[in-house]
Amino acid sequence: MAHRELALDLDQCVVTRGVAVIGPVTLQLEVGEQLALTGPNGAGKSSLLLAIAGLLPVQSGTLSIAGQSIASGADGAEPWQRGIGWMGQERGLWPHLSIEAQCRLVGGKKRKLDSRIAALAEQLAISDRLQRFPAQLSGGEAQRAELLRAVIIPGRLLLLDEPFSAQNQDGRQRMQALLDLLCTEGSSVLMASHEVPEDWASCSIESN
Amino acid sequence: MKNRAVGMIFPLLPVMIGFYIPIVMVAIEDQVFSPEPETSIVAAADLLVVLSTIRVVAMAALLATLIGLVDAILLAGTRGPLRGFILILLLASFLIPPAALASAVQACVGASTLRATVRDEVGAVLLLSLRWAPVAAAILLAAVSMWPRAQERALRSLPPGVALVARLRGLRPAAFRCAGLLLLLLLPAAELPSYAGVETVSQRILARLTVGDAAEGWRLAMVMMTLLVPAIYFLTSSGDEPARAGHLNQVHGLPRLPWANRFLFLRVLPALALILVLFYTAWPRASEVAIAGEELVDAVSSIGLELPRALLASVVAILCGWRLADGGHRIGLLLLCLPTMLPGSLGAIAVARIYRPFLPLWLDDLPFLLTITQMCKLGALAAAGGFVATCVLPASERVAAHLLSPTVARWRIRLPRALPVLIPAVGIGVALVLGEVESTLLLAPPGHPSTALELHQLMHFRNDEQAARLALVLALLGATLALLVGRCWKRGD
Repeated sequence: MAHRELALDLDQCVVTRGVAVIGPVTLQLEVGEQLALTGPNGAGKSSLLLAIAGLLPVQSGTLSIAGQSIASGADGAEPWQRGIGWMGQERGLWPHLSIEAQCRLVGGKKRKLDSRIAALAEQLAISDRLQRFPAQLSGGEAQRAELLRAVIIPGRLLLLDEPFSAQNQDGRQRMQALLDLLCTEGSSVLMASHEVPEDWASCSIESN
Repeated sequence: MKNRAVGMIFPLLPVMIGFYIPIVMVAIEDQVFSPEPETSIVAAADLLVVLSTIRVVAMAALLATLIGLVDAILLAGTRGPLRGFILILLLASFLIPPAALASAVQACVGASTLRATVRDEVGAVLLLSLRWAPVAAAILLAAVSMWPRAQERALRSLPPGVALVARLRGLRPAAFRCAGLLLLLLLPAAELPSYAGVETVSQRILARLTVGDAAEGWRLAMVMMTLLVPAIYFLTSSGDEPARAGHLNQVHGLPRLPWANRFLFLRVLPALALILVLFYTAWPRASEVAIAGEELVDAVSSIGLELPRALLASVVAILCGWRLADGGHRIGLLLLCLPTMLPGSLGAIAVARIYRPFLPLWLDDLPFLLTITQMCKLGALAAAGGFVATCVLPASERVAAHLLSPTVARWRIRLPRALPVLIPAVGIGVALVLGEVESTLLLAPPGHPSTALELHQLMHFRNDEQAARLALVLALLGATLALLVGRCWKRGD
């Protein structure tokens, strides 16, 4: 059996958010794989994504990202050290920066960043919106711009929470095509969603 | 954990150097911690002053909160003409230094002295309420700005009366906290009550430290500090986490209520009247035009000379407060707040006694110690500014920023997003430093230009016209800074 490279490995992870307890969750995501996390409202899909990103504490169990075990508690890797691309359920574009400036801020001093921004923006049909600020975009454009910012560094684990919620058919297809392409580049996608796109693997969280 | 502790140390350095270290050293020097066995911790006479101070400031805090609550609900929940102007006038009555405010009231009531007309606790309560009600309004408006957008939109869909009642209910917990906070902020008040002839605990401490038994003064201050620490901690730690969502930055959907407009115009009349009366009193007779002109130029130039120093003190203090709030250091915020709620003379006297003997002559001639002390006095404003600036950042933006390195996230995302709150806080800080008298009196080097101090001294010589001129300059400065603050809060009326 060939050795599988894991982008994400959760083993018996328990996450708490306020009084709610989510898990234990066991989940494996291979590099280049797309997985949809489904479940009823309040089941804890978003909380699980937040915990993987390091924005909520993992009470017990083990969590590994790209083969690196992440310790829980204060000694755990900070969110920015985990190599994650994040897109939350609510819009998180920073209103004081243009879309291009936000991509540059996240992308850092990567080589060929300009051409990558241009290519991805073209694919998401927001090439002519790159110099605009978030307040100057429609809801769907802002969501696609946020995806652009999340995927600007290649080869990352992408955590997306309801990424298609503001999209029409065309926007949704563009985003899905981009995610497919990114997965061939070595990215992996874990998405919380009520609807599972075709050809995507899925797993379900039940509410306690 | 270590990084967290280091993150708290740097923003606390100014307040450690400018307040806690000198205070502890002086207290040890004066043998405050070893009282004679037969003496009580606080003398009975001092206890009476403590009680009367608490009575006056409690009444003033309640009255100011009530007025501020009505102001905040009407400003946040209705739309109408000249709202920006109304907000500026409201803020101006706080940003005008206490001496100028008292001078304006004195000119307004028409008697030769303020003491003769408003000479009791009621006068002190009214003066304090007049000055601090805009602070209550600002605190409650900040609380409104933390309501989630969806909640604000839902309120705008209700009938006007029902919406205002819902806003009142929503603001009730914040109003209780606001009253508690004002009580703490008003406790060290000395200047305004002194113009009404009321002695407060701050004045008693200053008297003990300068002409009486210093150890007794320190003990009184320690009692005050012991009472304050748990109160501040309770106020900053209890209650729900703020919603962390921006207030809708436009007025669409808010009702137009004519009675609210009339109320708000009436509400700003006192501030407007005070400025107009000050202007009338300050207007020189034909024979005084030349002298008045010189006085005006002197006052403006001394404010011009003071401005960079005030700006520096305010910027450093506000940045320290923001860093502590941004890092979630509650103990750090408590330590930052405490000097504001203790008498101004306490830190000033300690700083002078500990550092002055070691200062080189050239540094002693500069207002170095004064700047550090005034910076420490801005602690509560800095903490409040930092807290609000952190809370108004929507959670989704904060989460996205967490995925960048801490330095990039702090300086490129969170600081620029906090600026709409921090810049007005700096403006308010500048006005407070320029109008500050207590530390200036004790620490300013000879020949140091301070219009507020000059006015304070004039008030004791009852020179009404000249005092009114200086007060007018300070009032106009306060109004200008209020204009800056108002511009930052503009929501499109």
